[in-house]
Formats: sequence, structure tokens, C-alpha cells
Amino acid sequence: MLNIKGLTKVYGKKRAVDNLTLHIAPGEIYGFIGHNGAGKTTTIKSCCGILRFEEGEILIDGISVKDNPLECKKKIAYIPDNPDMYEFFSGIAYLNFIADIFAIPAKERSERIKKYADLIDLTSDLAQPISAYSHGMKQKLAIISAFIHDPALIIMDEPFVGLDPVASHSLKQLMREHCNKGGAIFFSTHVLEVAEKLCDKIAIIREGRLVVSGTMDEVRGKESLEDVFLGLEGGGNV
Amino acid sequence: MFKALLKTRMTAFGALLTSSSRSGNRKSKIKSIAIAALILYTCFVFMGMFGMYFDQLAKAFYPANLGWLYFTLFGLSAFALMFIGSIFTAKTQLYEAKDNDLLLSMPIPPKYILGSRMVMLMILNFAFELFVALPAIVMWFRAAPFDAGLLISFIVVFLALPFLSMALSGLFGWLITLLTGRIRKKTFITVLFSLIFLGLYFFFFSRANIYIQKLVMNGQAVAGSFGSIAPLFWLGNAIAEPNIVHLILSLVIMILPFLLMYYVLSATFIRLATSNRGSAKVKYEERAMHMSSQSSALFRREMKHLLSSSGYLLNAGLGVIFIFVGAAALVIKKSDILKLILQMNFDSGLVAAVLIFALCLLASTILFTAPSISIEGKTIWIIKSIPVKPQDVLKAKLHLHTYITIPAILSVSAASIYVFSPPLEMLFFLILTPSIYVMLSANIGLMCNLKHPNLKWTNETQAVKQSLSVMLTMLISSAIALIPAALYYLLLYGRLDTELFILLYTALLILGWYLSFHWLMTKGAVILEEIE
Repeated sequence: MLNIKGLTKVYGKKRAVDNLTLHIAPGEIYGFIGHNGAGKTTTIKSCCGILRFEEGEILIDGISVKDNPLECKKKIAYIPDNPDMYEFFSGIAYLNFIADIFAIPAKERSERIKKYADLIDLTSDLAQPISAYSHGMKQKLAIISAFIHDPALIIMDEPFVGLDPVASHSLKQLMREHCNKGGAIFFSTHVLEVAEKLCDKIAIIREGRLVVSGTMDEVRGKESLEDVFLGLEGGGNV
Repeated sequence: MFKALLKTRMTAFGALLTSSSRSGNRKSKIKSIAIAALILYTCFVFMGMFGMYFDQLAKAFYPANLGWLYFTLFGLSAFALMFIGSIFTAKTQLYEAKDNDLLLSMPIPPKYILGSRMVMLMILNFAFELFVALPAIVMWFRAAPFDAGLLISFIVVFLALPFLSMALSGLFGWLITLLTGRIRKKTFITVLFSLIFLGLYFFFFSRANIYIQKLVMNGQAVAGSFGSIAPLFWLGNAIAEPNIVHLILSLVIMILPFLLMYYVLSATFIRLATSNRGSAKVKYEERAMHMSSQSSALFRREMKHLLSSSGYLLNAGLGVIFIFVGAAALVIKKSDILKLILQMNFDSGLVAAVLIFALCLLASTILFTAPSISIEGKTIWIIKSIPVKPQDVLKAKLHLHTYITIPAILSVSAASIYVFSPPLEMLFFLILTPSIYVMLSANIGLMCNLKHPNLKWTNETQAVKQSLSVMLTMLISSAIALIPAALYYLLLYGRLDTELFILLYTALLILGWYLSFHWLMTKGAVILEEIE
């Protein structure tokens, strides 16, 4: 579903991502872990076609992000770490905008908005202007807008930040359902317990380079993910 | 602490000029020189305009011993420019800055936060005042002998006058924020009040001739008997004589309102700066949904953004109101205008040509596209992550400009046709040429903003008003209307047929539109994809 081959992204003289290779298959929840500034967001933004990259290739369902970004974007949904959204829209107007962009028929969009908004408890706030939303509410709206067009691949950057425990639980449920239907999820997180419980595979990145990747059992063996991570980081914090 | 806040503001302002807005890296030397040259050119144009104005006044008023009137007119002109320049900035700069919450969470007294923002507004006011003050004093000393006392009084007034402008614009911002704090239709109320305020302001200035005549007629007697006009006399006399009593009175009038405004604003700053989320909750009711195309969704997004931001609407679209007022004025004042034209003895073809250039110049005041990339701000990730062609995003921005501006400009075309009954061929150009010009100026605005975007603003005014792209667009668009008009009037009038000249001008506009549109759809689209 998502093939990252030798991705390199340079800011000035700094190699933010250095020759990164990952493969996320359909049905997989893939966690992406690393310290602050390790290159997670840069990788994620490159996968979504938001950032251009110097070297390497990113394929989504076999289509190159570099050569055919539009076709790739039709297959993915992106949830950023800080959901800055159009404050001039109401929640429902924003969802309608996204639905129009993805050409979702009226009946389907109505059903999906109801389903997801009820599930993560945002229905009663949909008529409110986004400018009145809290961080968590914006995050919930970003989640609904990601699921509304039923993408093959969902890419999320710290999706659990700002969510209340109920919404957080619902999101995990949605992620699993999505992958059970054949979709894939690639997400970054600092919450190692979540990664441990939720992910089928994980990758740990440090200073732009891949340190380790594989199934949860392959990476952690008999230790906890936290121990593995701290060991790899030399005892530093996440 | 106050110094640290000021340093932050200065750094942000400096970054606008020295950093590349797309990458955040420092601008190249060539770009910095080009920007400096542009700023110098703007200063030259403004100061040149005021220089010509004050040159005429000084030559007439010094021999007539009307120095006080000369400096009263300086005060009024400087105040007018400062007030117009800062009125719409005050509200957003003071109360809607994105870092208000962050700063209020720190142990910083609100009066310091307010003060640091006001210093920036004050600098803006001084910059505007300088455009008037420098030509005014230079032209005076060209006509009159040097007088050190006069120069000192002039400098004192120069330093004090921005306080009065700040007092009024700050008060206006405070009132609007207070009124709209807990209502939903904030934009509508802000725009309405702004227009009422501007209407009153223009009403006062349209009657300026009457007041000036009154001043001239009554001379020195004004000081004692005409209570309401006396401050104008004091201001002029404080510099011209220079009269120390009048200087003190003028200083009190200029500074006291500012101190009162600062006291009121400091006392209410926290409440007002944090009251923008207090409107009543709207209950969501499920309704039937409709599907629309990508292009109409993108256009709706642009329109909604425009209509929800009073800063964007007023700063970029105020010209639309002027255009409609102009159309109404043409029809209402038809007979007076026709009399004036008869006196000037212009042929009907030339009248139509003048009208065409005037319409283009009017259209150059509308700047919807010039900040349209910058105002995406931190939400730029949305259009970059959804499956839309960058070309379609750019087209939606162009459509916003043309769909609003062309009908407005055509209303003046229609009024002109009704009033002047131009020859048939010029009637065609009166409709076509300004419309093409609007399309070209929309392209220019978007091109300038793609080349100079600012996505890292802390309040929307920085994107809408205080940006290089807006300044460039205004200059280029007005030059496209002014330079050919001046060229024709000074060099070609009588040698080249007016209709033929307008035909050539229109052809060049079409070519310019085609080339700029092609650039937008190719290089412009790539730039949009690469903006970070």
C-alpha cells in the first residue's frame, strides 16, 4: 500500500530524513516512533505530497507521489499533528467541503458524517464555527474528514494528542476496523503503550535514519517497547 | 520586559523585509536591493505628490501671511493619511493577534502587551506622516526664510500628531471589539461600523473646503470665537508663528485623548482579547446534503473566507464600495459633470478614454488576489493534501476577484454610458477594456503573492495589508493604468487617434492577461505545490 524507498529530505545542510525505506502492506497498522525532530513529520508530509523530497521514491498503491501526486492524494487521508483548519467554516461546512473535493454522493456523505460524528461525539458541535473549537474538537473533525472518503491509506501524525479518552478509544476502534477492511494506517506517536497495543508493525527512526523496523514481536522480543526504545535512544526521553 | 516584547515585534517586522517568505531563509542581496528600491520608489511617489501640493500652497500662502493655514492643512493631510492607514489595522493588531493567549499566559502586564503593539502602530503612523511632513517643511522653507523656532514647533507637532490618529483608531478598534465580542455576525457588524465611520470621515473631508474657507475668512478671530474650528487654527499657528500657548493647547488636544484611550484599553484588554469565543452555541440539525463540483467547492471556500474576515474584506475590497458610490455619483451629478466637461472642451472620444483609464485605476484599488495565498496561513496543508490541482486552487482565487470586481466596474461603465453617451466604438471599449484590466490585475495580485507569500503571520492584517505582495500589486496595477494614460496625454494626444490608442491598449492588456495566466497555470502552480 505504501512503499517508501530510500527517501531523503534535506533542509539546507541538514538531512532531516536520510535514505529511509519502509513498506506498509494492506491491513496493517504501522507505528512510526522517534524522538522530537527525528524526521517523523517530514516523512509523513513527504508521503502526503505536502513536502517535496530530493531523493528516493514513495509509492502509494504502486503510484508515485512524485510523478502523480493527484492520484495518490485520492487514495490517502492525512491528519496533521496540529490540526489548523479553516476557522471561517463550521464543522459541517468543512466536512461538506472535503466531501465535495472527494466527490462523495450526498446520501453517502450524510450517512458517514452521522456515523463518525456520533462515534467520536462531535455531532452536537457540527454547526459551530471551527474558530470556537478546542484543540481536541479540531482533532475530532480532522479524524471525521479523514474517514469520510473511505481512503485506502490513512496517514496520521500524533493522532491521539488532545483527544479525550472516549474519542481516543473510538479512534483505535476505527483504525482497526479500517485495516480489517483491507485499508492501511501509518501513524506517528510518542505514546509507546498505544503503539504496543495497536500496531501490527513499527519502525523507530533516529536523526532521520531508520534504526529498527518489523512486527511488534520482532522489534521488542521479550522486552517492553519502552525498554527497547530507551535502549536504542541511549536512555533519553521520547 | 517591555523591551523584550518590542524586540519580538521588531524582529517579526524585520523578518518580513529580510527573510524569504517561502523558505524562511534570508533574502538574496539582489532581492533585498530590489525591495529597498521599491520602498524608495513608493516614498518618492508619495512625497512627490505631496511636494507638488505643498509647493503650490507655500508659494500662495507665505506672501499672503497665511502660514498658519499652510500648517493647518499639513496637519489635516497628515492626519488623514495616518488615520486611513491605521484604522483597520488597529483592531486586528491589538485584539486578534494569534500570540495574545501565549503572551497573556506569561507574567507580563497586559498594558505592556498593548503598549508594544501600539508602538508598532505608532511606527506605522510615523511612516505615513513622514510622507506628508517632509515635503511640507521643505516646500515651506523654499518659499520662506529659515526660522529655527518654526522648525522646532513643527518637529514637536510631527512627534505628537500620531497620538491623535492612534487615539481614534484605537478607540474604533476597542468599540468594535466590545460590540462584537459576543455576537455571531462579527464580520457584518465590523464592516458596517467601519463603513459608517469611513462615511462620516469622508463626509467631514468632503466639507474641508467649506471649513478652510471659514478659516480664511475669519482669520485670527477664529481662535476666540469659533470654538469647534479653533483647534485647527491653534495647530497651524503653533507652528507658523510659532505661538507657544497654541502649541501647548495643540499638544493637549493631540496627546490627552491617547492617554485616555490607553487607560481604557489597558483596563479592558484581557477581557476583550479573550472574549472572541463567547458567542452562543448553535445547535446542529441534520439537513439534506447536496453534492457540488470541486471547482464550486473551492470557490465557495474562497468566498466564505473573504466574507468571514472583516480585515480581508475591508482592506482588499473597500474599492468595490468606492466603485458603486462612484457609479451612483456619476448618475446623480450628471448635469454638473457634463457642465465641467463642456468647460474643459474635451471631445467625446477623449472623455471616454479618460473614463476608461479612470475605471482601470479604480479597479486597481481592489486587491482580493494579492493576499489570497498568504491568508491560507497554517491551513495551507489542507489544499496541499487533498486531490485538487494547484491550477484549480489558483483559478478559484482569480474567480473570486473577477466575479466581484467585474460587475462592480461594469456598473460604472453603464453609468458612464448613461451620462456621457460616448461614440459607439468607445462604448464597446468602456465595457471591454476595464473588464480585461480587472482580469489582468487579478493575475498580477496572485503572481505577486506566489512570489512573496507570508504564511507565518500572527494577525491577518500582516498578510492582507502589511505585505510586499499587496504593495507590489498596487504599484504595478496602478502603473498599468497611469503610465499609458500619461504617455498618451503627454506625447501622443493629437498625433494618434484616441480610438486606435485604446484599441492598442486593450490588445496589450489581453496579451498581458494571456501571458500572466499562462505563467500562473505553469510556474505559479509549481510554486504553490512547493510552498512550505
